[in-house]
Amino acid sequence: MGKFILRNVRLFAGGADLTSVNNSVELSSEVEEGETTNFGDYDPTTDRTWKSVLGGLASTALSAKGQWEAGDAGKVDDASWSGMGVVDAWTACPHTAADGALAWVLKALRSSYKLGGEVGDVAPWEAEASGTSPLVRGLVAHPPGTARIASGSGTGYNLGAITAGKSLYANLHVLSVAGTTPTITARIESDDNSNFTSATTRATFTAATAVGGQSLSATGPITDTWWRAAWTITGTSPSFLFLVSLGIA
Amino acid sequence: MDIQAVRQGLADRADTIAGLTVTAHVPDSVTEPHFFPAEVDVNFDQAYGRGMDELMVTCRVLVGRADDAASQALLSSYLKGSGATSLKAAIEGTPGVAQTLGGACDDLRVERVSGFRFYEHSGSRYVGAEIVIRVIGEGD
Repeated sequence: MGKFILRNVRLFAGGADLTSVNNSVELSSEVEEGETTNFGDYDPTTDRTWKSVLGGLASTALSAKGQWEAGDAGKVDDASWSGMGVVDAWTACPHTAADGALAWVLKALRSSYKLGGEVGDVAPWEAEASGTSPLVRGLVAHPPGTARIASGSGTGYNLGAITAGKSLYANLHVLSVAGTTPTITARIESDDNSNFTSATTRATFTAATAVGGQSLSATGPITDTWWRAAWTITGTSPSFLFLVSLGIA
Repeated sequence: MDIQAVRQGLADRADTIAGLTVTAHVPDSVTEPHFFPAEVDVNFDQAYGRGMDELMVTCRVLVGRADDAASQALLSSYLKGSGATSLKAAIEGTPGVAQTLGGACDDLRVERVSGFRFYEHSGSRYVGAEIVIRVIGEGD
């Protein structure tokens, strides 16, 4: 991906697709510096003592703002108000939410929500969230614009094996639900080949019957290198719009 | 947003003022007093994913100059903030209710009046003013 102008950032928080009411997103990740400088760091060649550090606690923060809307669970005000103080799934895509697109995946506490402005303003909103899991650089494993009415599986991606000490992290954003007693149970599968001839379920989301978000993880080591989203749908005339994002960290 | 639909919607709202000639286009000849949307400035991409565009529509109201005092008084009546002859009130509609111009936009605000002066239009001179309206709606 080369240089580009921000025009189509996709932002998903819980069961809300905030894209069309969002005009600013900022993701940041920090690692605290723990200084370990000691007299042993003296370099006689340069006659200097060089500072030495260790990485300490890591943290992630997300801030976003845009145009305020309300009226159903998928609107920013309804979703933000019900999500205040709640740890939820957040996914941000810098350019598009198409299958395989770059996605930043995190689980975060919605820590701040502001609304209201000056007379004449387009009614604004601002929100902040503090990460409670690693910020994962991953991809879209199921795009939000493809309605699913039956069980199936998505495109497989070679993310590589998960070594010891690392995990797979995945988010599910259920954005739209229709039908009679509809239920979707999404899962993450892996295999050692791109045809998924012997797929193994590595993590399963809780069955969803309404819009909302979920996060889960699968701990390594896992030697499989191919990964995909899959789902089981039940109900009468069910139809779901959902996004699955995943990555390894 | 469909710019022409917005212009038509603004004209339709202004047309609720009795005695005012209204067109959705800049007319070749004016039947005064005459209101019409003129220039349109577009700010695209006010939200990601073509979620919102913003239009700044400059409308004009022109009044004949047969009697200088009466014409300016009539013009002033159109520029009031409220009342039966108020363009702001007619265009914005019910306070607290988004003005969608029949679905052409999400909301609008009559922001200001400027240029209370003489105008020349198609070779004739009128006294008039410009009304600047901010319109927001989905990017198309």
